[in-house]
Amino acid sequence: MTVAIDRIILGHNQFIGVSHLSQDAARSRVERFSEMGRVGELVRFCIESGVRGMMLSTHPRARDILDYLEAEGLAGELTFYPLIPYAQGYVRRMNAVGMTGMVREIFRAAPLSTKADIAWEGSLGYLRKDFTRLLGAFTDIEMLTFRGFKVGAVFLHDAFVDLALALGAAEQVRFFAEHVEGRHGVRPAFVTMNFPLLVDSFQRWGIPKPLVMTTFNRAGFQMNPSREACEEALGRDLADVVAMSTLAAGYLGPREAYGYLASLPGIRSIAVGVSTPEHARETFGLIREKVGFGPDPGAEGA
Amino acid sequence: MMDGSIDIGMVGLGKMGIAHMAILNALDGARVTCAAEKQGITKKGITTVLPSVRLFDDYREMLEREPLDAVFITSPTALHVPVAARCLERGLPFFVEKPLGLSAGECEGLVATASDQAIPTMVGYCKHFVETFERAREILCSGELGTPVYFSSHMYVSQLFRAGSGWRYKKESSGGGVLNILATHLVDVLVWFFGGIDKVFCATGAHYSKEVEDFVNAYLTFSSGLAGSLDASWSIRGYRLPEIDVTVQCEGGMLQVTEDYVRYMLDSDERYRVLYRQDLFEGVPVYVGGSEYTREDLYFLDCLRDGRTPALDVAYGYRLQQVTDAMYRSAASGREETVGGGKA
Repeated sequence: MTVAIDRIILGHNQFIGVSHLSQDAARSRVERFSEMGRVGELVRFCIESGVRGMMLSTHPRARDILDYLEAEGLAGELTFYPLIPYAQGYVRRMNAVGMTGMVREIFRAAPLSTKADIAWEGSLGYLRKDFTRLLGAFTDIEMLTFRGFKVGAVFLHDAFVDLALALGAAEQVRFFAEHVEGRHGVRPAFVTMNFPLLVDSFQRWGIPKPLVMTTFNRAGFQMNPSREACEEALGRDLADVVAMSTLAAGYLGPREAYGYLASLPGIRSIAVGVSTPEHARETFGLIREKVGFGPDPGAEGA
Repeated sequence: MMDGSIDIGMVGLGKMGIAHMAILNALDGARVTCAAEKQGITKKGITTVLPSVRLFDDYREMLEREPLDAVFITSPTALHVPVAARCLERGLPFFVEKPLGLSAGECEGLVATASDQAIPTMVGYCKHFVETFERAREILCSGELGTPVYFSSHMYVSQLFRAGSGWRYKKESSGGGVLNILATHLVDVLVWFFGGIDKVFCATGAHYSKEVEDFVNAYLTFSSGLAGSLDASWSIRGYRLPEIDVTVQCEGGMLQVTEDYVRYMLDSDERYRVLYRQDLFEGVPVYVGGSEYTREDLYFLDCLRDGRTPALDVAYGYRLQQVTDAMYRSAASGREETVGGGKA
């Protein structure tokens, strides 16, 4: 599948209160972006700078952000990269209501079309018997948030990808890929903290050149089993890689961070979080200077 | 261990059971051969993904029929001690998720049997495998900051803002609420840092839960004479992930540690030093939800191979259970209580 993937993708963590540097930082981000106008201000600046790709998880706030961007006339300028599912939300709900309760909640929220499909297939009980199809129904429910918006690729959250890799769940990974491509007409993508394991597993499972978002940073932070092993796997050119955590969650300075990325072969795109227009200007400028990526208007072909 | 691989049986496949199962499945030298689980949807998932794993409804049948080298007990808390006791009867080493049981009283027989039999056991107090807490303990133990004189601590997560359902919120299956299920991690970190706790003065509260506590606040006095505060809840906004914060005042400086960083200052130069997770990070062979889970599994497997007793054995888990018991007693009596005994 030939797919255009933006060279710079605006990350979403700042909008949903996530910081891998510290929860203190995360809480201050929640406060800053609780004012939707600040989200709009930042996204407008990114669009004007030529950055038109935006990662967005199915966090409860995602729909509000999309509605706001649409109302402001900004959504049509963007290609969205959904990150599904919102894993931490599921973990908290599982802790609150148990696994069965969580599954019930999810299906209660399902759209009529999905419910109709489920009914046609013979009820939730049928899906329980066919675990893999259950994953498809989950995916459809998660993708509802993005109905009517331009989607560039659908990223499966690392919590699920890494679980699948560790369990050796080849059939479920293949199913997700085929389902996203067949039903939603976009490229499937995978987030992982185990990049070498993913490359080896996907090669063994016959999944050619996947689109993968994974950690690459000079500090080696969250690069498993090691920075060296991840760099070696990257060098094998068996995946289209979107680099994330490039600043090691704010630990590295951008000049140092993007200098490192420039030294790596085969980084396809960079997902980066910015918190203010000034921060965005500096970050995009350095990515252009050091790595040579955009931010030219529009996406580039794969 | 016929071919050098450690054959493992799982009991309970909730969130942590599945995480451990995945890690063990991916690590060299270990394999999950069977599991006991009642939930149909989970069983269907495992049958689909790992068809070689033999599934049982009843853990007793699994332990009886399967040739195993070790068992991972990741069931709801009420089953921990019964399953662990059955493992000991069969001479099987086990890893059990925290807390060890519903109460210290429930654990007593198990701890005595484990001590007699010298079978490796481990309780899943995973904060011992988080780099920032490891480093904080090293700094405190080095004496660089001098003797600790006071601490304050909390553990919060934004989890429960309406009535919960499931085993965590039923006293008979959980042994208690946020204290026994979550804040036991904080009690563990404090005991690991500062040694045994002698006395506790504690209050609990509930707003969302009917049977268990949602809030706990305690003043703890250690054998060393150190005292300080603990506050914990699963109903605090702004904590996407569970977060522990321990701030220690010492004779020669201070230290603060969370999952994200260690920050400390010596009075001698008044310079704050901060070590982030990024400074301390070391990769793991496979990452599923947190490096600490892989590290604790590797540690347990190493102990099995080397015939060592894990530091976090059932005797340690029992000591922590005695502290939480005393906290519950204090909350009920409104008085200070002695750990392991009656009123102080």
